[in-house]
Amino acid sequence: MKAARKCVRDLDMFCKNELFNTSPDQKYGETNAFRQKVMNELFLSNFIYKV
Amino acid sequence: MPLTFGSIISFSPTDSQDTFIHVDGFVKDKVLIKRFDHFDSKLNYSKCLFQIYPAFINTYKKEAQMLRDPRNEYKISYGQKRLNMINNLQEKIVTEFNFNLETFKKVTGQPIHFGQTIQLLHISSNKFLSFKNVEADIERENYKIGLDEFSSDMTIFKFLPCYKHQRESEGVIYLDDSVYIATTNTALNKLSYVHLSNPTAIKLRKFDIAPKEDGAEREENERLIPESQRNEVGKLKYKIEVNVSLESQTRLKINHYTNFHSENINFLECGDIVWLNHSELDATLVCVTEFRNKVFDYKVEFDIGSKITDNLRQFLGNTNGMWIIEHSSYHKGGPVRWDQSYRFKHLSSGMYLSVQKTKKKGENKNYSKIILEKESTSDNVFSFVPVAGAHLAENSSHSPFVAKDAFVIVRHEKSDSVLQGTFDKDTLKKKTAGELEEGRLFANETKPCMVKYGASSEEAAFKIIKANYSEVWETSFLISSFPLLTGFLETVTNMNYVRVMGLEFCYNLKFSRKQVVIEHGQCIYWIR
Repeated sequence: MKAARKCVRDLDMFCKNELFNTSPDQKYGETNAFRQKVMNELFLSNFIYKV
Repeated sequence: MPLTFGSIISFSPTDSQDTFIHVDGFVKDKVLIKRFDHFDSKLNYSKCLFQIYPAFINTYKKEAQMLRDPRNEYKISYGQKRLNMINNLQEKIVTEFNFNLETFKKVTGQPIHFGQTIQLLHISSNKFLSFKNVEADIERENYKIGLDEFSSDMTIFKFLPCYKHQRESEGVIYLDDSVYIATTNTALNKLSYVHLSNPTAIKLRKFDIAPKEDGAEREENERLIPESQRNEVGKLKYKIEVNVSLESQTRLKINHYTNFHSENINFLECGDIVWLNHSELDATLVCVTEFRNKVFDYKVEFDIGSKITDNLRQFLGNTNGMWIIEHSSYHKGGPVRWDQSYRFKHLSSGMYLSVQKTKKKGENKNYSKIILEKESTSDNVFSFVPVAGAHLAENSSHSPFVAKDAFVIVRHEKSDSVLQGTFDKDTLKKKTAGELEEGRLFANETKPCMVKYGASSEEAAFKIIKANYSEVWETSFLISSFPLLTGFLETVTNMNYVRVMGLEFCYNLKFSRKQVVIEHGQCIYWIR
């Protein structure tokens, strides 16, 4: 449960682009189309909604 | 050959083959021993790889980390003074970082000696192996070992000899040597060693039954567990944990994967993650999952959604079309060569691109079918053939290595055929004889197939596009988070049957397990 809670928190930060930003063009906390695309392709968006 | 700084290595117990120290590094940082002799979608050899770095200086980084501690808040002044202090510290940290980078560049390629301080960077997650000052999960008397994002005193280790002849020689460590890994960071400042726990049996459980329940209530709860899950509970699974022990040490074998190569090199390396883009169709080879009759079916298809953006000149590929280039001996690394054999491992599912011979009903002729396979067999061994028409210097057959963004023909070794696109059944019916003769292919009307090697090979040219580090990290992070989320979802779903420890407040939630599993079956399948 502890790990799942941390995972959901990390995913939340990941979606908001507050986790692992390596590109100088990517501003902290700004939406990124690539991340939304990857989530969609891996069927994760609906899955997280359910969680 | 001596082991050098910058080399990428893996560790395995000296007494067993195909067994390595493995850590996920994204959502879990438990360091465990994993066997690679069976299929597990979560196993990936890149998660066993560590790069050897020298010890770094972290004076200013430590100072900055201390300031984040609320207890040290009084040290931070306010207003302009505060701003100056932060700017000053920032500059010092950047200088320190550059100094550490220079140190790494200087020692890269130099042999490592026993007793020399080193750091081990986990390749997949880009985190340092780190000693944790807390008790281990299985052997409570030992310390935990995990991963840290930044280097510190806790990430410093050293190799020590484990045989007399190693002590008496010049002290240089050779490839495939057996060593002890030691750290001096324990509270007592005593030398302590990386140690493997004894195999510990862990009962598989979907959920815990609250221990305080007694007699009738417990029985009632157990009765409510569905039959299928009741069988799961109680099955044994063996875990070997990697920890740090003050008392005992374990010999570990160093398995050399590859030497250091600068990121600016112009050729592909084993372990690189690529998209296979069919040059004529401008389509990417992807794997699509279909849920039919309660069974998941993998299909290898062409995807036309992946395009090179005009403004950025960057390839935006489909995540389901990311393939890991793996040497036919999975523990071998190094540059990808024209004259050697490789496998394509699908990043999301962990399965191999494979070609199988099948016969159609009522026909004697054999057909090659492109599928995904769990096991690594001779059916999934491919090699790269240079395209005769592509006259790029780095792509020429004179160079023994396959260049990044090279045009190649993907040849299946067992059947001596090449990967190509062909019209699918529906299109064949619709097309006129003239159109078929013209033979022009469109991605949305085609499917991947195998054609005999030698015939019009230029049509079968694929462009290999390497994914950059951040694309790989983002995808791997999401894939790693799947099993945890599924486990969580399953636990929550089961709450109407059994009380989950610490979550009694959810006891009355009513979920339909079947509904959740079917709706999200596709996700769950990827994970399993």
